[in-house]
Amino acid sequence: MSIGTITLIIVASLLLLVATGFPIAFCLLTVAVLGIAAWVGPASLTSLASVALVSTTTDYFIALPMFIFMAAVLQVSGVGSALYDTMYKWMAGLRGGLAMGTVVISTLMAAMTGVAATSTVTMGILAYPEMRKRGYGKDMAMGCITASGCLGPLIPPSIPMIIVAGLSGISIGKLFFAGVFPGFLVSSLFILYIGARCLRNPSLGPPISLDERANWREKFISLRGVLLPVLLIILVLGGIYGGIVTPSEAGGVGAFGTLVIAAIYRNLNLRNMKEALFMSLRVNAMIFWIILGGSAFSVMLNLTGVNDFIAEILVTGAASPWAVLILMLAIVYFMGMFMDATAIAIICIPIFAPIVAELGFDMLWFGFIFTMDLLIGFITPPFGVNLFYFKGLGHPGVTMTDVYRSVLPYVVIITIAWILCVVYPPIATWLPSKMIK
Amino acid sequence: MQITEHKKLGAFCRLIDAINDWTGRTVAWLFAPFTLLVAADVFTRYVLRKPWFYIDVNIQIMGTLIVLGGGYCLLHQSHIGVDTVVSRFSQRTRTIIDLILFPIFVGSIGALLWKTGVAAWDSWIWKERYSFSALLPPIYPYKTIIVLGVLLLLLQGTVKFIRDLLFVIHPKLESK
Repeated sequence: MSIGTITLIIVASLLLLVATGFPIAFCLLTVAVLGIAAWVGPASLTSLASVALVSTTTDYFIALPMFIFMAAVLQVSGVGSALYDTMYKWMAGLRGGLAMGTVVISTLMAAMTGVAATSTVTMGILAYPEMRKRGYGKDMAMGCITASGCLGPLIPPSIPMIIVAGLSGISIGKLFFAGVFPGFLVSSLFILYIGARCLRNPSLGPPISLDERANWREKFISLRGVLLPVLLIILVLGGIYGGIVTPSEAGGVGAFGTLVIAAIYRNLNLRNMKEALFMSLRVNAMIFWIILGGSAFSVMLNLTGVNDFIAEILVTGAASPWAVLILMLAIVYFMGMFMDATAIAIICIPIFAPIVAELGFDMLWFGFIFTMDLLIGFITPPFGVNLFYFKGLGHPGVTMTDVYRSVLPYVVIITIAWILCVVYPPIATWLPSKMIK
Repeated sequence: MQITEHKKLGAFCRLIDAINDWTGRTVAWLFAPFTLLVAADVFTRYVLRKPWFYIDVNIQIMGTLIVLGGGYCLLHQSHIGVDTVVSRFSQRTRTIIDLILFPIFVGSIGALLWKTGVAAWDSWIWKERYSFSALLPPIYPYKTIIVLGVLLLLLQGTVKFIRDLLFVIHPKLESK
């Protein structure tokens, strides 16, 4: 059988399996097992044992459970509602203020969490009902929440960045800080968009009445809600940027710090603790079983030679290095509409990274635009996980079509920001280039 | 299928559910030492100026969290899949698709169980140790945990199959 036919069968069977709704981790594992058994020989299935061992005990992935646990504790810690209270006092009087404030909080939370669910769920519970009560339009109230959830993994810390860095051999710390300026760029563009729309049409996001607004004294007292989160951000991100702790150590310290904050807000009880622990266990197992299945899949691609075949097609089929790069990014963008980010990273990075290195592109820059490409997939319909997190909250009268429609303008905005980072790399690479190590 | 058999199968399902739920809820507490060890290591390194081999312990804790969390994750339907296509179908059609997928699940997870099982067995015989650190901790206990985790996942998948089957045969009987 020719290598072309094998490649076609592998791609087709993976797509078919994924479409049945079978968990992605098992889809990858199944195609790996079948591929090895059919084209390499059943004896090579022994590699499954080393895949299971290596993918669950690799030291650079130790940052994953750390930051997953930190995000879970953050979600139950009460930090979200403290921040919301501050934001409400400062911004509710502006046109579209609550929606802009939601983006501001998501940006702050993004600097403490590496997953998109934290702010999407927290703001979905706190901010959405309040905005609707205050007469905000459905699209206005929903879009800012699902879209700014993307900031979570864009601004450090970031779970997808740990995976991308781990798979491609880039420094996790540097990739983290590549996300800072693009993160602020996206966040500012979101705020500008909301502001501009509400300025032209105040009925989309009406300000609260004058007598309900907080006075300056109340506003300044409420600022203490920002104090602890900012200290935590300085501790965790400052520690990594200054080279004092490794990213995984920063995760451990951050999780510990978040526990302390939860205790200060009197939210550190057995019920919350269990919720955070069980949530972490599920998310961690979900991600790592995809890594396990994906590693098996990569091994299979290598053993069958499909890896080299695809690389060859990409390189010979495209006219210039830039065409190859754009083709790769377009594949990821498209896959993002249908597939989970971890799975895309683990399928694509082992194939793409060597090509990119050979073409002479900056690996850190590629790692970043690849990650941002993945993150756009978090909010692109039909399979944007963030959209499902929000839908899963079960607010009355919200259909999936509503969620899709509300997020579209933000998809356009973040795509523009991403193209800017592709065309003008210093937005991403300047900050990490100034790091101590 | 007879009602009594139905009851027996139901009892088996509940037993496996309980085992995976208990395992998950117990293993989840490992996040506490996992985090504390790192915080303690940063402390000993910067304040007491002594390095410490926490990473050897932590890597095995991480692995345990992953492999033993697999069945718990399946029990709580947290293994993410793409349901864009199948969400258009009826519950019954979706269940039948899941039933057809079961042999594939058994085949792939079974292959994983077989190969990790053989590796664990060899590891016990050779009393194998990790080679990457100065402490050379034994590796066979962790390799055994992998086998246990894969087995729990396989059992939980089997329970889902039994429930799906009962649902298709007797849609009205509650198999929980």
